Amino acid sequence: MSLVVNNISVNLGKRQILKDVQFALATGESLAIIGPNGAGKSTLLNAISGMLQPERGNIKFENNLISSLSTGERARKIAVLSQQHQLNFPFRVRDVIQLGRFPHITTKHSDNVVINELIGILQLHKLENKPYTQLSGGEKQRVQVARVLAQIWHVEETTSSLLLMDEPFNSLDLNFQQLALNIFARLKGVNTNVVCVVHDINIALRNFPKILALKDGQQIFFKAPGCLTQDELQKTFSTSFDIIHHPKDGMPLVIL
Amino acid sequence: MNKYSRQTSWLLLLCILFACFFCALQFGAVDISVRELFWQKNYDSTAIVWQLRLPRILLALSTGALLALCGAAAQGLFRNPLADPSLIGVSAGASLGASLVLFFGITSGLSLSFNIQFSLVSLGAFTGSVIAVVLVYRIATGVHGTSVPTMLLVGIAVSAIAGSFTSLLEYFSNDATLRRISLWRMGGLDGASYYHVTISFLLLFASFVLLYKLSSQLNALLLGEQDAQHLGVDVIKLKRAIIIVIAAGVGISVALAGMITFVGLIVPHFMRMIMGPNHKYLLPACVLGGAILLSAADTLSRTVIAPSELPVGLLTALLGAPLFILLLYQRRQYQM
Repeated sequence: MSLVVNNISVNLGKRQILKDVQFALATGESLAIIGPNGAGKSTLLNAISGMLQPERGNIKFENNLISSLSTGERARKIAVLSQQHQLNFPFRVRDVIQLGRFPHITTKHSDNVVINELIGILQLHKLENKPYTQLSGGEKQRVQVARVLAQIWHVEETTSSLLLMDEPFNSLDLNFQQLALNIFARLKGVNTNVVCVVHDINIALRNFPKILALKDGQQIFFKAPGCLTQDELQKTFSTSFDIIHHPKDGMPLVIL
Repeated sequence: MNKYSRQTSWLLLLCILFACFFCALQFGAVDISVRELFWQKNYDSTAIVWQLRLPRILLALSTGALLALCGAAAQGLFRNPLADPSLIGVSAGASLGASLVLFFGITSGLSLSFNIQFSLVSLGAFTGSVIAVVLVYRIATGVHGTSVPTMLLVGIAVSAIAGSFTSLLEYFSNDATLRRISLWRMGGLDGASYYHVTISFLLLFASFVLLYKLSSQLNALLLGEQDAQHLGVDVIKLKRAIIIVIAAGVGISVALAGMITFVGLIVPHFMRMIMGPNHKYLLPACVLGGAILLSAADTLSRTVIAPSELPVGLLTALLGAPLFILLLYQRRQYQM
């Protein structure tokens, strides 16, 4: 197992946000975290990234306790895409992506190779020299995704790392949602675990091998999408909906 | 901004700086021609240039650079181009700290040497500005960034508190103390000595070296505190370093030259337009720009109504306040 979350509970102040969350991912396996608003999804990401210390339990990545890694080691292994972006200075798009190379002591040349590759993959050629502040919401999201990828991108060697994303599909159109999913598939190939908070349940069901559902800080289930029952999903969101099956592969889809 | 146009900008800034320096040497209540400056030495003009004008110009250059640098640092800390130390109450805090030291220093009746007195006043100003920055930052900045209205309102509150305390001190002062405090509060660069110049240049050098080393961390901080942390920046340590630099810079400049407002807003704003927001280029550009602005403003303030002088802070405010209003007007562009 590559990422092991071992029975963690997280408090913020006196309030308990997460209680007894437990799951494990194999090398390269990706996970979608779903659940209603305020269920503790972002808190779980923060705990995995090492930003929040769990009250009980522990988190291991490749047999190392996350809390035992130094700030620098952690930054070279774990990249995080936040839900909201605060940057409001007119950096060029290229320079924003460059910020993702901060933890790496590499040559300017190898930084540029990584940046150019990501600009290509995320189709940012036309925006490369534009000020970030002038971009639309979806364009900003793409640039931030590129920046976060730059943090754990390796051109030749394969070093396994961990990519945590809080609603990466936010404000991306279908074309770029597909693009992001292709990138995840590619990351799987280099043994990188992707953990995403996903709002759109159908994206989660169709594209992630494992789903973790949270509600009021408690884990409702941790399963492969094929094994899910309608009851489990309805319990998570406390609402009723229909489940149909995809015409091609028979996997479940949710319809309100 | 490509490499070549950036190089041109550096060259241009340096040329303007030298031009400002020589104009400042020449013009004043008594104009001294270039010939007199270098070749035809006579006693009067030598004394004017070396004893009065040069230390004053050097003080203007270094405090201007220091204030601009502190402005850029504060804007990095608050992740907002409106965070000028004089607008968010840091200068007011420094001024209160310095007044407290002056008041108790004089009323306690200790006869201290000039240098020790100055060091104590600076320490008071430093303490006052540390408290002000920390207070404003704690209240105005949270997980989701800085709230501009809160930041400016806390600045107003801090300035009001500092102002009322200073008035209270004046109320309890005797005539001699009152005179000392109010003379000092009016500030200005006219008391410049080589001792002052040495101190402010040393501080400028130290602050610049420290901030320049932190420039890529400062860039990362602009992404937000959490994102910077995810990139491996020790945010707490970084913020502490920035706060100390701002407090020391503003504190010393207030102790040396009184309240000079808006330099920390104007210079970083224009330098960001020329050099871009990357701190690696912005910080050195602010040092040059601040030196240019304050030495030019000081030359103007000495010559416009010569032989009298305008307070130099008046000129910077005259330039800065409209820019501030313009920035507020365009704030949507900065998503504030």
